[in-house]
Amino acid sequence: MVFLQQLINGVMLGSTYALVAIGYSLIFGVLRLLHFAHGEVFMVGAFIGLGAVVYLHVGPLVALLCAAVGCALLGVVIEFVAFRPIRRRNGSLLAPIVSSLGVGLLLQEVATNLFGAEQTRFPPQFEGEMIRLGGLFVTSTQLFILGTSFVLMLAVHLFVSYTKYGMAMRASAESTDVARLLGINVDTVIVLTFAFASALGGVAGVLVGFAFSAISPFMGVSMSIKGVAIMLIGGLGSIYGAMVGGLILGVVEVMTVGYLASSYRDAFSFALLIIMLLVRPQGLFSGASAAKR
Amino acid sequence: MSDAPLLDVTGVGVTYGGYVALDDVSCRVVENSIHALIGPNGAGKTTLFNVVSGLVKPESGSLQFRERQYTGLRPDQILVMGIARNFQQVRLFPVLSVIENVMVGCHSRLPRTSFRDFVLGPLGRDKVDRLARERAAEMLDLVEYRGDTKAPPSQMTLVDQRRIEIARALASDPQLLLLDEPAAGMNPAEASQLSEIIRKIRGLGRTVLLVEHNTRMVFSLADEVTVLSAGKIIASGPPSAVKSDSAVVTAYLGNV
Amino acid sequence: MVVVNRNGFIVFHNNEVLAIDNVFMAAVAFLASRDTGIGVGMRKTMIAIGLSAVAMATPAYADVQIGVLMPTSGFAAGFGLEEQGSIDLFMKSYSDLGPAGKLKLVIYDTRGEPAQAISLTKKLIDSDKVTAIIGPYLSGESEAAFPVANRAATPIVTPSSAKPGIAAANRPWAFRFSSTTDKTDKALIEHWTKKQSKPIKNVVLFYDGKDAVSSSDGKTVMPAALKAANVNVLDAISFQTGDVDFSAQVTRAKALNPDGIVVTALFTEAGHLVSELRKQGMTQPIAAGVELSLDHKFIEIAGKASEGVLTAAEFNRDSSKPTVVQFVKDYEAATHHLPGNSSALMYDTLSLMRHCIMSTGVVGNSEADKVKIRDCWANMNGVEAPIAGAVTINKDGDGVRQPNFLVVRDGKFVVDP
Repeated sequence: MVFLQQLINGVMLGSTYALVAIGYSLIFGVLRLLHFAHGEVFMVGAFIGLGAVVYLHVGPLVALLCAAVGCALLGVVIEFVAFRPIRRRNGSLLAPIVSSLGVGLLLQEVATNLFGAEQTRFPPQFEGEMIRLGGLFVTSTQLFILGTSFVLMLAVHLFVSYTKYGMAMRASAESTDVARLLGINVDTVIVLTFAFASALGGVAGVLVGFAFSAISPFMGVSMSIKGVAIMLIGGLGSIYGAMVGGLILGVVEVMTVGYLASSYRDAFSFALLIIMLLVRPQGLFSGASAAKR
Repeated sequence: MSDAPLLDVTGVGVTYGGYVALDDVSCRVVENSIHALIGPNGAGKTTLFNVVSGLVKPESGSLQFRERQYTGLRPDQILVMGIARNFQQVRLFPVLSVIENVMVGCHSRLPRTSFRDFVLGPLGRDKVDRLARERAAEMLDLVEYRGDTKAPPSQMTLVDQRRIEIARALASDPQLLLLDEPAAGMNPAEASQLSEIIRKIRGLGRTVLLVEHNTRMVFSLADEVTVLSAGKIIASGPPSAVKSDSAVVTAYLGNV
Repeated sequence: MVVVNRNGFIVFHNNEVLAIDNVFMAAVAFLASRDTGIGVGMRKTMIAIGLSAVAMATPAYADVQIGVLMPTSGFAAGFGLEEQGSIDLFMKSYSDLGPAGKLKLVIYDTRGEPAQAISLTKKLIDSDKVTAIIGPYLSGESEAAFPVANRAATPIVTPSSAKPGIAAANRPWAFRFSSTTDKTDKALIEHWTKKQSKPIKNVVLFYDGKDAVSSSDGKTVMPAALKAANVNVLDAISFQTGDVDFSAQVTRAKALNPDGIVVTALFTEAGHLVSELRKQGMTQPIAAGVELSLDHKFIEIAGKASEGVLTAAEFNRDSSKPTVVQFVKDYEAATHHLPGNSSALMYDTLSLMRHCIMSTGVVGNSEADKVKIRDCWANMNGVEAPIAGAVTINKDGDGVRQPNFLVVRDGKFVVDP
């Protein structure tokens, strides 16, 4: 029973990781670049959600929507400011990494100055009611988070599989040249990808805010690292890898803490990453295996 | 036929570093014809394709399509205008299934994605997704592809992969189809089947510009042949005239 | 990157990424710095304090320079901001040292990182030539910075670090205003167990394994205090500073069904933990170590779950002592916040530092001046501090005081009689 409860705890944590990692993967897929400010987009999403709740007195769903829209815009701005100019000038591979790191720091500093360095939280009513299922317990907020995460993951899957732009995104991720020659405006696809990925990141930010009542300008930093680790575990650029990898990391972390000690948590997570890189360097899902789905 | 040509390449020059890939190349492709581009390896045929499809920007010269100047447009804009191509080295998307590869080719011809597309598309009820699927199936049928459409293209034979690529190019409904060595690696039977497909495509009112090494296929198929050697046009005209041109003979004997 | 912070001070920021203890990111940051010329050197947060006062000072006397180390950014920024409020308040009224000129503070941000504390201590001594240092805040930082100051023969006084032994290990130059956890824990557990209607036989102990004082407290000091009170520790469960998800720890504790719960953690983590404990339906009484620092943020974070949590602290904000009432009033007027435990500790430490400068005739920043300040702290016996009252420093360099016991009632810390 305790094990089952820990499994629930792990899936809860992992589902929010997955949402962030999907955004990373989408952007990596199209640009072949790590977007280091994505963790900060996640952080901004949490603050937008908090602002919507505190000042506009909206419910959780509207807060998510506000964060999604706000972060989508932010993502697009980041693409125009930090990535596109470098791409146009054929800058070095390092340049966009640096510029996205810079954007991340800027967002952190702006958030620190606007909201302070300390943690803030959603009003207590967002903690939800406690629900008992036999000997297990979940809160209504947890169910909401789990539900939202899985609905969004399904939506991402359907979007990339069955829509024109989803298909264009996957094509651009394979080869921007060929995609262009097939009439796909890759710049539009990149903007769309940033908007989509950032919206997901923003939603994840609000969900994490609901779950752990800990919103701070620095909440994106560890998420960035985890996002990269999940991407490596799941397979670079694979959104299904990001989903599964996120859940795996969440469960591994919780189980390590629950049965060993918190000080081993990161050690185990990174051991998992190293084993993955040794045994299956391409990650869980990659190349042809992702197409089989 | 007295009208202006469909594609008019005038005085195009391309250099890579110091190497002259194309030197003052001019070429006119007449509407609804099969126009072959031949020449020894390294003559600049693929470079010319890259220029026409927008992948390489020419340093000099101009490109006209339907009497419209299009030099400097992006590849995706050129495709929307009506020029599609395949690749000498097959470049299908490995993570997409066969049908999805062809559906991507439909991208520019599909209606704008609406919110409805996002919501209903996933449920398989959206007309955009359905349109693309139907059109892709039609194109695969046209190129006589008989394999599994849901599998990844890497599981298919090279011949089938070439067919899929042609179907993908056709999916955008191009006026001008650029085919870069579509028969490479095919046996005579497969090559002649391909010739039939190309004729069928022309029969649908399209124009084909073809790069091909298989000279037997070229001379039986093409209405017009242009010979390129070391970046220059050395001969152009109907197959019978080109075949007996002394410059062509020299170029082939001297190089091949 | 230059940012003007909320207090209107100019803060120079270097690459934030170095705050992450992750080799990979550090490597990326390093490469990044080479590519763009962003310096990834030591972070320097220089805050100019009392600028107007300094500008007016006549150069006839060598002003006394005191270094201050505190975390104004990063995870422990909350403590530093509370200290900042007290510094502003204190300097407004007491920057004048009479014949010795002006008291000048050189303040650096340690971000709560021991490595930063070391390099900034060196910088204060070598470049800024300070006579004494106040800080750092956290035990982990003090543990790292004390030996540096001790070797350089410069007095260093932490207002707050409570891990036992760290001043004793750095005689004769290191001191602390605060008293140590071994003394407070024992008193807290005695008080806590006595108050319960249902006797506490078994507890689960939660501790922050990354924060130095919480970790030493959770691993050795608190277990000893519990053992002395005949309480059995069923399990000691750790988490890490910065954690926000405590579900795994609480699920593990819940299975053990203890009579009570003991927490040694800083206010943020303690807040999330207590919140999760109540969320998972654990209703047992909770005692939290002195690390909680009586921070109102704890109540903000834990919300209703904080009700009934007992803790120990030096500062009792609701004291009727006139100097405390005045301090709370002035602090609130200046900062629009109520002072926290950290505010009180800093205010008292500054007051005692000024007392030492003035009573021993420190006139500048010479070696002799350093010795005078050291001896003043070493021999402190019953010196009146505005908030804590009579202050005595023992032979280990530690403050000796009885803590107050405070419990959360209706969203406020109140004295538990």
